[in-house]
Amino acid sequence: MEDMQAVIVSATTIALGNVLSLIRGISQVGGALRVVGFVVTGLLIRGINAYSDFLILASSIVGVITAYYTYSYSLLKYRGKSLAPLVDVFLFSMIMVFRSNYFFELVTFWLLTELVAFFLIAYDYIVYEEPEALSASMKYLLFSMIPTDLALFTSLALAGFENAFLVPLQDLKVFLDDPVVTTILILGFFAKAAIIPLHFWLPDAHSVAPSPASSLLSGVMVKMGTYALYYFLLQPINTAVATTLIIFFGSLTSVYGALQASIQEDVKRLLAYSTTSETGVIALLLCLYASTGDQLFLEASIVYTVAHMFYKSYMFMDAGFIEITTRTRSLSKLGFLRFVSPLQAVSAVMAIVAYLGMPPSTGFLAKLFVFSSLAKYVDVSLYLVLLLVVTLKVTLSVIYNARYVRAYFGLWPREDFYVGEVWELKLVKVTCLAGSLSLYLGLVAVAYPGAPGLPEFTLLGSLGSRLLMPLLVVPLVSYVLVYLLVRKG
Amino acid sequence: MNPALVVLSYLLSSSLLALLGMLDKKARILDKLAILTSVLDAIFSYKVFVDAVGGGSVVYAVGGFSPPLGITYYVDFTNGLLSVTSSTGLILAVLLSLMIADRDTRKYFYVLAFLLVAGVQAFLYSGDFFHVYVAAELTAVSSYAITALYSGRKLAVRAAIIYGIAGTAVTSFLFLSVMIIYAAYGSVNIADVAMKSIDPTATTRFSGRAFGDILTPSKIALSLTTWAFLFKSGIVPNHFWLPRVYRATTLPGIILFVSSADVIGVYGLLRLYYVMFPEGSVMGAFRNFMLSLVLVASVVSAFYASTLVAIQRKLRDIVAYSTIAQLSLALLGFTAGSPWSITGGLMHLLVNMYGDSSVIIGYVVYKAASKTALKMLAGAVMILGFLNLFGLIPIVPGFWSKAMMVFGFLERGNLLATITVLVSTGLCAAGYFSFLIHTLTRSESKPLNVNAGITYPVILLALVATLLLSLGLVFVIARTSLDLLVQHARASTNAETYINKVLGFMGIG
Repeated sequence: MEDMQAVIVSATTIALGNVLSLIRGISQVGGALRVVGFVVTGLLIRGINAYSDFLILASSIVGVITAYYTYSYSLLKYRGKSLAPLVDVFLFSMIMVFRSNYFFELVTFWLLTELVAFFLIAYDYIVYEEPEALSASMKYLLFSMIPTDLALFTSLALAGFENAFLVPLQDLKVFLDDPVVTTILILGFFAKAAIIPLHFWLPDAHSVAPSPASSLLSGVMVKMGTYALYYFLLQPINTAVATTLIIFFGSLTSVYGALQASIQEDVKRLLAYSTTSETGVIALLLCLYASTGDQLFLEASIVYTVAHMFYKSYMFMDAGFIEITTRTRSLSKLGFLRFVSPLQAVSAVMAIVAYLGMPPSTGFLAKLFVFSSLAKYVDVSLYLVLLLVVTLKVTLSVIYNARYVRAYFGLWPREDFYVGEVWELKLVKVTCLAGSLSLYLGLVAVAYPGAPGLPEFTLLGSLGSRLLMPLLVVPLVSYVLVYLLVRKG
Repeated sequence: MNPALVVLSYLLSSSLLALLGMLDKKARILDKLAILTSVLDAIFSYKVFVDAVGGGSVVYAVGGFSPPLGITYYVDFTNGLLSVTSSTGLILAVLLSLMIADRDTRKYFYVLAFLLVAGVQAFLYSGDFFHVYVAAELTAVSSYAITALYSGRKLAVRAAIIYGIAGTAVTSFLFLSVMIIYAAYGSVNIADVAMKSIDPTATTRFSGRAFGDILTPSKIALSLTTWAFLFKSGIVPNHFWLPRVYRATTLPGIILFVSSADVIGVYGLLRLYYVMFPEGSVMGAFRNFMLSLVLVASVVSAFYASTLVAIQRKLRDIVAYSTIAQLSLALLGFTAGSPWSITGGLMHLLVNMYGDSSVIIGYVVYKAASKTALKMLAGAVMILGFLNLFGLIPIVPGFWSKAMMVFGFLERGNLLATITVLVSTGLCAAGYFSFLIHTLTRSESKPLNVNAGITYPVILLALVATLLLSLGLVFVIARTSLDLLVQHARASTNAETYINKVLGFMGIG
């Protein structure tokens, strides 16, 4: 527990920040403290393996970016301040899950996260009595929370209570050979990661929750499911059952999710379906890592996860912006947003382009790793099929991302859109810009060797330091160029 | 500490309160006496529990008549713990009734409550089957009366009649089985019957050998008693009386039921299947078949009740169906047979009691309080109660009882039970959380009748929260306590131990 002090410091700072945010006059100080708190978690808190290290780092970055966003969104949409503390507890709890050294710790924070998520999804019901929010949160409770708890409790019982407290996670051996137990476990974590057949709660839940909450739900919480899959795939599990389930349902979900996303009208539902598609891919990669032992697959899943975390949390922030400024989420009514805010339009298009694979962004790295790792084994027919599946998914993702971007670069302007310049909205735009930039700069720490405690990536190996310049310069130049273009047009 | 003294003290307290109720016009002395006696009697039961745990068991032959001639009281970890829960529940109920009931209701409530707990304690301690029946009847009659406390309301009278008639019919099955056992075995002492059901040729002083064929009578007695005990705890299909009763009675009455009266059925089934007619008994296959039927009943009951919990919006309804669900899960733990699941089931009875009490007390104070601080405290206690019933956060004892049960189930490879526990938890959670959201966010509150000012609410809230959290934290901090509990539970459900302790008590058997 060497980083216990870091945990306490960050927790106190975030809590204090939330308290100060409630006091008129020094609320900005409160926001700053919250940012500092998440910076501390990112710098000082370490996980138990490479995957958890990166999850903590990326979650902290997301926390930093969304800190002011949540506060402003809460004021703009709800005219209240209760959203930010809830979201902070949520994110902090997830970081603690990734940091967990002992099974018991993992279970505690996992359950806490799920509880807070329930109330976040039901938030609109609590505040506005929206019946949709209640039914979405019930679906979440019954089809995501319960199966996951079933999986966790089963594995906790099989691990033994003493071991759960005393044996560190890296050394723990849980015997899960029984095919039924394996199925319960895998399906349970599918429910968390929203993979078919327990995926259908996600579109409702993530579209109904407040946008900062959706950012974290889609950006971070589903990764808890993939993290659990990663951990348990390395335990003595029934590999035949596990790999069959993951490969079959993972591929199915990645294509199905992308197809569904391509036909959605509601921007948040579009993003939600896209999330299910991505977690399908991540699960596939982790499964391949577990069966081949090739480090490349692990790295691919790490980079893909991180890229998706930045992408999805940004996109939901953007959806929140759309919600606040136009009071609609329907794509058929949007298309004029570049006139509402050119800056936001730049953030959006640059983020999407980054995610689709423009070098030298995180999204580019993610695609590079995924395709390299699959192509390495392409002479084995299974990998060829998976390569085709991922290619199909990526193609479809171009479609739904293009549909999304049409909200900005679509029809002629309407007369009656809201172009207020309240400072909260300015904060929203600034934080969105930061979110968009994270897709380029987010992996600077990784690409630059010598970043403390983080492993080197095999593919990047020698490229390391030479990436730094392009990583910093190219985005900045492109942003400026695109901004000028948008303003002119 | 003599267990009979516990029972006697509750009986005496009840009589004293009845007398004083007739004399005391203002009820101030009555209230103070009620609190005093409930605490004093509770201390007696705690002492008995401590003695039982320390020494392995406490055996007392009433009047000095050695078993199987006389009645024996046998206290070990299991019934000692339940006895403690029951006495504590009475304290909470008395304090709550002080807060919300008017003088006339309180007067009757105290008398009946103490009688009920006397009956429950006797049931728990009794080593004599006939005495079990007597205690059950005492408990039952007091319950019927408590149900009818608001005698001016149609709802209460109807509920009491339904409960009364069904209860009497069912308890008479219990009486019938006592008679059948006596006729077949020649004794109603549980240890004696247990010994003879394993070895029909065994003889004991005073009762000699079993009279004749004990196979068929045992089967009949087992079936009838099972049915009766299922009714007493409100397990589907014998649950129909419970929601009605909970809707009709006073809130302190509900706390009383949850901590004592409704628990004895499940406890009775535990002793019935593991001590009186244990694994090695002469009707082995039939006993196993009945046990599996009880398991099926508890699974169905858990699912049925939790589905209903998910849609409840009123306090009494949610507490009622939640109780049925939790008691079914506890019973599931008992029937699955592993010592871990039995311990988990036992803990779960406590969890249910503390959870329901927290919810009720929190709700009452929340609705009645005008000061924000008190409201917040009450809300927090209510949330804590629901979290406990939901049971998946490790600082509340509800987590531990479920974890132990799941551990026990998986030890025996029983996946159905595991799934039942966790799915019904989820369904209940849906109900608990929507109820919480409804209660805490809808600001309209018809304030409930609250007699005392701020002292009683705060004391009650603090008490129930402390009890809950300390139980949970004990498990977190002292994990060896789990193994210790399992050892005790193993001893409780070992027929050999029971027989030796009771019959060996006076050098016979």
